[in-house]
This record gives sequence, structure tokens and C-alpha cells, in this order.
Amino acid sequence: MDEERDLSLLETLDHLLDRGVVIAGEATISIAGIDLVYLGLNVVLANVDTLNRSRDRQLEALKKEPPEVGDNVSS
Amino acid sequence: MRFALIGAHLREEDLEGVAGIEPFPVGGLLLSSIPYDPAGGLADRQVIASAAGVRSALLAKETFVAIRYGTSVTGPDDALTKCRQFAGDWKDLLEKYRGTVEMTLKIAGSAAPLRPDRHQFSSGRAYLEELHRSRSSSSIDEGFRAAVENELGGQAVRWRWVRRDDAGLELAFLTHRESTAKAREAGLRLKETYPGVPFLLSGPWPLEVFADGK
Repeated sequence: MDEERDLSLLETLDHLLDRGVVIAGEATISIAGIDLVYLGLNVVLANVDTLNRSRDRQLEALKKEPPEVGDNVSS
Repeated sequence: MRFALIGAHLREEDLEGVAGIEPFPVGGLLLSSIPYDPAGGLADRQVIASAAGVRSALLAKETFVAIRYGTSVTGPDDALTKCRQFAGDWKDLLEKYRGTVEMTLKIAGSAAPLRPDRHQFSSGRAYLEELHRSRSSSSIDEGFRAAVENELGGQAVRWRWVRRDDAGLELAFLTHRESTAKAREAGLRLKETYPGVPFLLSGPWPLEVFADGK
């Protein structure tokens, strides 16, 4: 019974996170029809937080050490 | 405050009584959304759980076009800007398929595909194409596949095979709301006839596969 409930929850989350129409510029990046970004369960539940922390650290580092004139800095 | 979009709905009554949603009018439709704190972001588990709950409650009311989680707007004007170009197509779909729901049957492949060796390719594109091909070639029991088409495709309003990931195949089909039990009975028959084939029949879902314009 627990297994069925877990499966149902997982399936519900899979449909929430990986199904439905994608609004341009919002969720999917692909090359030659191959999705490079999978907005899936693991990504959203685990990795987005990590990515956000990483981005924040990079922004903090940039604030502390401004790039020299002439450097290419992507935002 | 920002708003995570949940779906597009044909009529106002399709949203009535569902708690926690903020509706935005777009091109004769209504978009459902849930508010969230941008500081917590869309990865916040409470927001995800709330979105799943609202999605389920909305589907219990009527069929809608599902918008993939992750699309967020600042308010009604932003929602209009981002979605008005799709409103005509969504309205046509919702009128055509009102009263139906999507269901899916996932079949696991019998063998894991081999990943190509990237050193064997002269260009990145060639490697990506081969990787895509290899991931699309897991083997599915052909007898089971035919039985699925017969059992579920035969009673569906519309159906389509979808290869969604590297390990299997999925039948997405539209069926009338009152026919979901019949589809589950067909699933049980498949399970009895093909006890060795791992599959998962699930639904009902809003318009997901059939809302992609194909």
C-alpha cells in the first residue's frame, strides 16, 4: 500500500514537473531536438537550490573582486 | 510576490471553489496560478506541493491545458504578455476535448541502451545525434505493444506513442472522464496477459501531451 502511494506521488510530481506546455523562454533549452535541460524531479528538488547557492557565491565573488577593465564578464 | 502558472481554462466555472488560486484572463481563457514568495523560489517544497494539490483539484472540476511547472509571472500583465500568443490554440483544444482527460501507460524497455563513446565522433552534433538515437532504441515487447494499442487505443478518443526517456515508451491517450475505469480494467487485463512486462498505467491528467500542438 505504501509502495502504491509512493508511486502515485512520484507519478504526480513527474507530471507536474515534466509535462504540459512549455512557454518559450521559460523552461526548455534544446539542440537538434534533444533536451539539454530536464526540469525534472531531481533537478527541482535537489539541484536548483545548489545552483542558486552557486550563483549567489559567484555574484558575491564578483562584488568583492571587480573585474579588470577589458575582461569579458557574463551575467 | 510572483505567481506559478498551473493551467489554461475555458470557463470561469472550471475554477470555482478551488482554493488558493489567482486567475488571470488571457484571450478569452483564464489562467490559473498560485502565488509564491520569490525568496523561496519555485524549488520550495511547499510551493511544489501546493501546485500539485491545486492541479489535482482543478482537474477534478474540468479538463484544462497544463502549463509546465516552472513558468512564473509577476501578475496579470506579465501573464497576458507571455501567453496571449497561445490562447487561440488552447481555446480550440479545450473546446474540442472538453470532458476528456489524458491517461498514460509507460512501458519499461527490456535493456539499457549503450551510450556512444564521444571520442569516436568528429563533431559535437554527430555525437548528440548518436546519443539521441541510442537512447531511442530500447527494445519493447512487440506483442505487448500491439495489445496496448488494441486495448487502450481502441477505446481512446485519440492516442499517441511517445518516447520520453532513454529506457522506455509511453502511450498517451485521451479518454472521456466517465471511461477512466474502463481504461483501468484494460490495464488489469494487460497485466494478467503479460505478467512479465513492467508497465505503469496512470491518470487522469490534464491536457499535457495533446496540448503540444502536434
